[in-house]
Amino acid sequence: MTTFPGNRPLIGLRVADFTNFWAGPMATTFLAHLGADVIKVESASRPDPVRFMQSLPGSPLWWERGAQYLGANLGKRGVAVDLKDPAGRAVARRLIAESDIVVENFSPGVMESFGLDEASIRDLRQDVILVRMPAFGLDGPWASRPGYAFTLDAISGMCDLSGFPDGEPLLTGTALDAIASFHAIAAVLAAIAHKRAMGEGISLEVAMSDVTAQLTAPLLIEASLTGVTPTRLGNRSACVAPQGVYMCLDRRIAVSVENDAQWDAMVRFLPELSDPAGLSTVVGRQKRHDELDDAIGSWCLNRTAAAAVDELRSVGVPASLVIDCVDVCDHPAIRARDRFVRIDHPVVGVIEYPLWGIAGADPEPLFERPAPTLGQHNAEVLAEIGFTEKQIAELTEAGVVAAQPRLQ
Amino acid sequence: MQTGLAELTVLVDADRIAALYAGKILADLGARVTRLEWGSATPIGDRPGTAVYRNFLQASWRSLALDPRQPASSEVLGRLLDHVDIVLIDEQSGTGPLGAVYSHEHRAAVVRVSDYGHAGAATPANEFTLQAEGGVMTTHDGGVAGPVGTRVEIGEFTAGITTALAALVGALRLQVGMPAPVADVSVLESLWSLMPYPSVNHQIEGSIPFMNPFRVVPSIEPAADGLVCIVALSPPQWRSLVQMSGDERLADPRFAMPPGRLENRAEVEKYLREYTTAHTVDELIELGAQLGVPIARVARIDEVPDMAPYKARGVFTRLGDAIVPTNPFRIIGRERNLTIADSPQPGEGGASTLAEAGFSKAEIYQLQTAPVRA
Repeated sequence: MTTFPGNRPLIGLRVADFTNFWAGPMATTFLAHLGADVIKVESASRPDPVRFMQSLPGSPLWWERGAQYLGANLGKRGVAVDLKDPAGRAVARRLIAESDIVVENFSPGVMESFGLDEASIRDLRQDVILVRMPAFGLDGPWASRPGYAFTLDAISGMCDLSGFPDGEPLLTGTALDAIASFHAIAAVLAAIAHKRAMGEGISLEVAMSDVTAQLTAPLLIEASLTGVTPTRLGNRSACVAPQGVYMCLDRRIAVSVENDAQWDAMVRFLPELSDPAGLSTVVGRQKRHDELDDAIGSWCLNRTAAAAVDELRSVGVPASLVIDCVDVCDHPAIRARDRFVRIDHPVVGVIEYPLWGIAGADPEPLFERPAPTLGQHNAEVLAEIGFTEKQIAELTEAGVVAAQPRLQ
Repeated sequence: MQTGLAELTVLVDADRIAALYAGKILADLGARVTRLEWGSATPIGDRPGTAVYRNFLQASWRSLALDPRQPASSEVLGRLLDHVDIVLIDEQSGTGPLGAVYSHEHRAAVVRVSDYGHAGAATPANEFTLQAEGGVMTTHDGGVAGPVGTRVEIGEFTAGITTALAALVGALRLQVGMPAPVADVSVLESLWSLMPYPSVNHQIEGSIPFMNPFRVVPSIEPAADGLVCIVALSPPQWRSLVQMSGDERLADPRFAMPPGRLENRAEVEKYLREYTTAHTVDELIELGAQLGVPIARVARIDEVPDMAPYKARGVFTRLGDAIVPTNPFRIIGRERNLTIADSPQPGEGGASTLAEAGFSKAEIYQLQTAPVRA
């Protein structure tokens, strides 16, 4: 178990966490990381779906083994309450009344179906901070549609711009979930500052669609000013050249020549190039990019990736290994800064989890506990919010609270 | 946005997009952000839209222009650091002519952003090479053509929002009387934080080995008149997609889970595309909505502002001739402010920044008329 200092800035705040999948849970786990007491709310009939990803069905307690679930729910306590049952909704209401912050990322209408619309939540706790994370906003024609990073990737224009000119557009993975999550955290932290300064809770909406619009802004601005629609460039760039991914003896590297000075330094490695004077400007290099790719590719094929990167960096040219996302954890820069926390989990044991991209904070925010097993803290949390032992036993007997999923 | 952050003062002495984006986020949340400029105007890029984009990031900011050659500048900066709440710097400003000022003890929470972290490697890098090192290129592997970067500067954006979070944590600490430390944001680590679970996955006994899951549903598929993104992450979503297609071949149990679909990718793709190419984009989206299968059009960037979910909600507005997004944060129940102000001219708003930092009218006048100007 990791030890942690006692002066983290959100200690004393309780979060009722109605989030699932990836963007929402990542946001609330950051709050736990800063000291908040985050209570994750699931139900036996609908556990967080992300529990079932990367986990083999049929293996023991397989819903407790999903890597995404474990990573995105560090530091929380968990209850499993059936929100379709009136008694379960009463538990949720009691929890909200005892919480400083409520975060949810259901499609609009779901919280309302539980009787937990904004007005009802504020009736339960007037100064509560409410942050909602819908995919397409709380209003508008797509409000009720479920959204995922993938569909946001598609409608935002990002997907269309990713890939090779002669190939299909490519999805950029789940990056949008995390980026949306970070924006939601910013909203929560700002709302906490607001409450401390003004004494009132506010309700904020951070829609994934609005966040993705921020990411594509540079390209949209360019398109709107020039009338020219940006297109897929593969690994090339509209403003630097040469740039690409090249195969060395053992693996691939990425090379990007940002300016003429870097090119002057690099060209010494490519003596066979004809008319080097014509390559002294980025425009000249853009025109002969195919030729440059061939020359750099040949140079790379005569050396290992590490040697090529070292040589290029030694003359000031940006170059790096192409690292698979599975292996980034072993990047020397990350290992050197020990950007990990190691926590024991009752089902999967000690796991090394990555920390956030912020270091040097004093104290370094850390996690007190691993991700909760389903309903792990039912009795403990219900008792804290005022339920008696007898009431908890009755709720358990009736299946309103549970610690095993009811899988269909 | 009117939040308690209106009391938060932020000084930005940085030029990289990550720091400017962090300042924009703090301004969007209500903070008063001042750009520190050294002697001349902000460097302007040479691509169409680059300067406008930088102006957009600094909309509603103030500017304080100082001349680093003047001895008084160090003193002015030092006094500012004792007054403002947050200072955002990049590695360059931390090592610039007045960089030493930042290493002194001040009240402000300093957030520094750099490629590998302040104590990390000092090797040449940029967005493209950091995407390569940060695992981004392989999460959307371009198939036989190999890894490919994304045109969106995802490293700068992620480091930017991470920098904003570090600043907000600093602000909260100041609010309760805790000392605000120097926080150190690494672009590489920020990129890694987008996709951390593969490294967790391989430590778990009995887990499915990590695979690139974005090639066989969720995936991009051709329709009769365009491309769509289809998502079927959960077994119910896959069953709904099979039902929607009406193709019994897709009901094969081998395809029920993503690993099976990846293993039999050619077969799945063939059957699915026979269905999708027989329908228009709009038909597929509508059918998907009815059956609970998320489907979306693959839009071109210039189409986005006119798409229904954006247009109806006023997600975009104009800044001069450019189309720009509005504030990504909304206070529920309040009208959204769709007006975006221009960024400040060098020095515009500098006097008010100094006044808030406790400089007297006489001192400000002296600075304005002396070589160090506000």
